[in-house]
Amino acid sequence: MGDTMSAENTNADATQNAMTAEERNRETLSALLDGETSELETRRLLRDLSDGDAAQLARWQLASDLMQGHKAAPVSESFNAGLMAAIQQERHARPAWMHPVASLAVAASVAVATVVGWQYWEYSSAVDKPALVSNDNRLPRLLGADAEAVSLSIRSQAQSAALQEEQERMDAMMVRHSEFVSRHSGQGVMASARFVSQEAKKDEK
Amino acid sequence: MLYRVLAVVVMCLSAFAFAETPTQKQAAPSPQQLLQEMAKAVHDRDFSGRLVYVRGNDMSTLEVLHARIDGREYERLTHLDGKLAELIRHGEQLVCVHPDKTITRLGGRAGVGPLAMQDQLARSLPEQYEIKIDGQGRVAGRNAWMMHVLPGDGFRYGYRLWIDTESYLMLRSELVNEKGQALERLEFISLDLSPNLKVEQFAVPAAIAEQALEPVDASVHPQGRLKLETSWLPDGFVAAAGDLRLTSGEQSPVSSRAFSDGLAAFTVFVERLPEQNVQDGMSQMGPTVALTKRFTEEDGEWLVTLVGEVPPDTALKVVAGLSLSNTLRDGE
Repeated sequence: MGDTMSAENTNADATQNAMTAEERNRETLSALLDGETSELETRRLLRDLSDGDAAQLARWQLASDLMQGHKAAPVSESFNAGLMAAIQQERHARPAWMHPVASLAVAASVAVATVVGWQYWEYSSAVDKPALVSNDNRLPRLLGADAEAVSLSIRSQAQSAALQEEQERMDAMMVRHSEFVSRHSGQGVMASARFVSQEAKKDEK
Repeated sequence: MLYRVLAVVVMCLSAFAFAETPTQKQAAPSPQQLLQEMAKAVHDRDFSGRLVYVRGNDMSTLEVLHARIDGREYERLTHLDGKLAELIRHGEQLVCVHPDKTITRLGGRAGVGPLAMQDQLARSLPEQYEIKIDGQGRVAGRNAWMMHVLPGDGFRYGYRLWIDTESYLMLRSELVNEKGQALERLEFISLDLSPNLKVEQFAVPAAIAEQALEPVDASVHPQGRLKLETSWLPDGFVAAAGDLRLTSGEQSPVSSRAFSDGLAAFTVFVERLPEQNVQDGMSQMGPTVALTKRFTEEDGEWLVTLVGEVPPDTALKVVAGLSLSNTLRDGE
């Protein structure tokens, strides 16, 4: 599979050799931004994204948001750092298609909406406080129009035992929180339905 | 000619009158009235129905039973597809039936007025939201007022609500982000307002194991003297309710404090740092965010977790501004 990909890359390079590397790069980023890349390409692009490319993407995304009259998606810098870290990690991991459930890039490109169960994103433990989001610090939704609510899972399956204990801790808190919301906030059944649905689906992963 | 004009006028008038008939039957209530009625109906009305809960591509079907029997409120919400999970309410007692057939009991909160927030909502709409009624729609074969609840800032989500014109029950609810995208949707697909429910229909099933989240007297427990302080809250959010609970079988209690602006809510939990290494981090499931942070104080390490339906950035900002103080130590 890896060989096939390099072959594809070589072909692509051959057909586009008239373009400079920079032009090609810009075109690729632009395609990514417009959601014109396939799932496989998206995964590869995110994997190989350099800091410079990410910054370029950020500016374009912001410009595109503003031009379309959207409020810029307030994705925090730390969130982005988490994404980059996760992508780095995936670079060293087995090919994503060998464990489709854990595929970060795929999970990310389809947005939080399809993710079942608690997705865990750790900010760097070296940093004492979570990085605060200021209005000037807005960075793009890296993955196109529907991915601003990206949820990341950078935990490996080996850590699932710890995750299980954490899940139980979390459940007790969810019960208490849902109870408060259903009784006090006027949302009523919504909070209960959210909780019951999460309970029923949490072990399905 | 005159006749023709008259005929046209009469036709227009009658068409106008005809078109107006369904809405004239019920003048739109004020958004305030509608919210109040909605908050009341869900506790006072008897009903049963099927619901669909959608979050992205993930869908759940649920059954709800709700009744007031001898003045006591009963509710049962059952997950119908996939694994069985249930919430059963008997008055102030709440029972969660988990998919592994264990159950968790949550007793009433001591010292917390259960209707406090509802009363607040009834008195005034949270000024952080702009609320408008946007005509009528149909949900589950019933007529509903459509209501938009728009947040005034980026620190909270908005809502689209469909409220039954007859019973004032919320027939459909969507929680929407700042772009108007629904993060989740709950919708009745059938509703029976005369279900004639019996107490037996709310019986708690047999469980293989049971745990309870019991309230602990905060004045006698050392953790009761731990004070949580916030240096930043989104406008309109107030500390609403707090308690200290011990899970059966556990050594140390977990305290909680809920915060709400009347619509959105999050709860902050404080506990002793568990033995297994818990990392600072953030989880998200649909609109619910959970953020964990360790605090190192003189009297040891604490773990603070915020759970709520607020944007992740709001959670980050609130947690960054939290501090713990031991009132006992301060008093010495």
